[in-house]
Amino acid sequence: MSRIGTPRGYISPMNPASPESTYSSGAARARDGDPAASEDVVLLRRIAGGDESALATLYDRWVQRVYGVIAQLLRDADGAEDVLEETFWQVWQRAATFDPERGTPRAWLLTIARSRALDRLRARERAPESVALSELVPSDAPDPAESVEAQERRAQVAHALAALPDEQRQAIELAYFGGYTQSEIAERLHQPLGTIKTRMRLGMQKLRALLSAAREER
Amino acid sequence: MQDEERRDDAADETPEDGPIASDHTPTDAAEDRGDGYDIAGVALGVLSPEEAAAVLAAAENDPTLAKDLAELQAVVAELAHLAPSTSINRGRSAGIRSRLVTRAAASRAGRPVTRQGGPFASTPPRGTEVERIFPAPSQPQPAERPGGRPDRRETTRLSTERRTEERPVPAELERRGRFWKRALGVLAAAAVILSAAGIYALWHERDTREATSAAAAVATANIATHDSLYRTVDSLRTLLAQRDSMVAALRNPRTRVVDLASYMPPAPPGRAFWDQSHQHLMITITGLKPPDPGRTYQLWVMARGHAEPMSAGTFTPDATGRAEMTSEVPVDPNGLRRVVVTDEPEGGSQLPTGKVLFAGR
Repeated sequence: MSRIGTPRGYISPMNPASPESTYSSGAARARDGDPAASEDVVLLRRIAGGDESALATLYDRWVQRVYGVIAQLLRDADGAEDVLEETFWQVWQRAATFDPERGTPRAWLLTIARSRALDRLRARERAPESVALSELVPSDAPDPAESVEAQERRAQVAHALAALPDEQRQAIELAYFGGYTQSEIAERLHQPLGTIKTRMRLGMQKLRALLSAAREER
Repeated sequence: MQDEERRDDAADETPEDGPIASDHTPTDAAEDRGDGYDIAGVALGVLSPEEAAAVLAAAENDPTLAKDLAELQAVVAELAHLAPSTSINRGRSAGIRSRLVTRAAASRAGRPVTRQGGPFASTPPRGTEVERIFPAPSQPQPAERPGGRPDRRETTRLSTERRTEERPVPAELERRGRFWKRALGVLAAAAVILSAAGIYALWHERDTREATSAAAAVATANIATHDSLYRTVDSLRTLLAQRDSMVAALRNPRTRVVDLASYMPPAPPGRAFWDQSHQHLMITITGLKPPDPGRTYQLWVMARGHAEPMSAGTFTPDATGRAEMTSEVPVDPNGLRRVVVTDEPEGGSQLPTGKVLFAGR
């Protein structure tokens, strides 16, 4: 089995056609003419109509980012490849359910990828104690090959996360980077479940506000 | 419970809230209503399947809640910017891409929505309103999440153990895939040669009348030949896509091979391939005699959590004694216990009644 090594940095070199080079978030971006998001919406529409070449194009545009999200959770190349295939297969089957009014293709795609990866992770019966938090959270060294926009956005996200109170950040990091369930996090941090729920809720609200403010400043 | 959480919230978090918590956002509005649905938990994927399902069901009837959830999912998608740079192997990625396209083409051949399906609105919606907005986090794998605490074994060791159980898949099916590709090529070449023959005949026909009738005959023959060839090519394409899909399943490292011992000498042992990822069970048996008149062969699966054997379909061998069948079997990835073939009355039985012909585990 090949195993993915320790995270070596940040976002991978961008595919020239990657929609990541123009960052997008929120349905407004797609509607207001973000070309990358609009192209993805068109591709999803074609996929919903049964056009497999559109699936191939969407795959080319997103494979590295989707794989990064999955591999970060699973840390196992073979498992990550399985989940990558499952993710795009689900895209093929469910493209008609994508609603551009309610979110971006990016959020939709990454939510599917993350859900499938979490399913795999939990089916695998992973031991929560086996990984230290410091190993899960990537370092914040920039990747020189990353596009300027992506670097900027990565810095904003890292900054927003760092701005959270420690307890909230820790709970969100264990959830996002560790893939732990709420109960596992509560157990790991020796806190009541209610406390963990509250920390996550407040932390997510703050992240949302901080990221929204950072986007408006751009 | 919610009140408890809110008291907890006040005791635990108030000093840290600062100016951000006082900003009134849509998310705050949802929380202010006191419905207390854990949309942050759903967005982060930290809830149990039951808890997540309850929130999703609530969001189905509450557009504001659904919108808030979609926004938090977008925040979670933002965190992907912090995902480490892990590049997929190019060759493996190309393989996955090719399998996806092949599977998509094969499924399109069988799906009612065609290329002319058009925009989303014209496509019959699948799933609920909530599913259209965001996918349920754990929908397809309820069986993969046993209720109890997980066995705390080290991930790497577990994966390695799984690997060692798996056996290589025979290369025969890959060779057959290549055969069909070659067959397609030969048919295409035949179409070109037939057309060329018709044109050649026309070119050298001196007598106009004869040429005309010859042309008509050739044209008719060509049209018929073309139609027939296109039909053949289409059916071969579909067959090829199915084969590719089968080969893809067999290449999957998680596919388990089960030897089926023969209880009907001189038939040699058969084989079953259990594609755990997609819950597909394929069997291949050779040297099989046809069932007696009024009888058929039936495939059964015995699985963890199922008291009775489950039918996976009936089959009969072809003229050469070969039988191949693929069935979808709703069984946990590690739940397959035994695969059995029995002799049954034509049309199959609800539960096995005849003698066992093949069995393996």
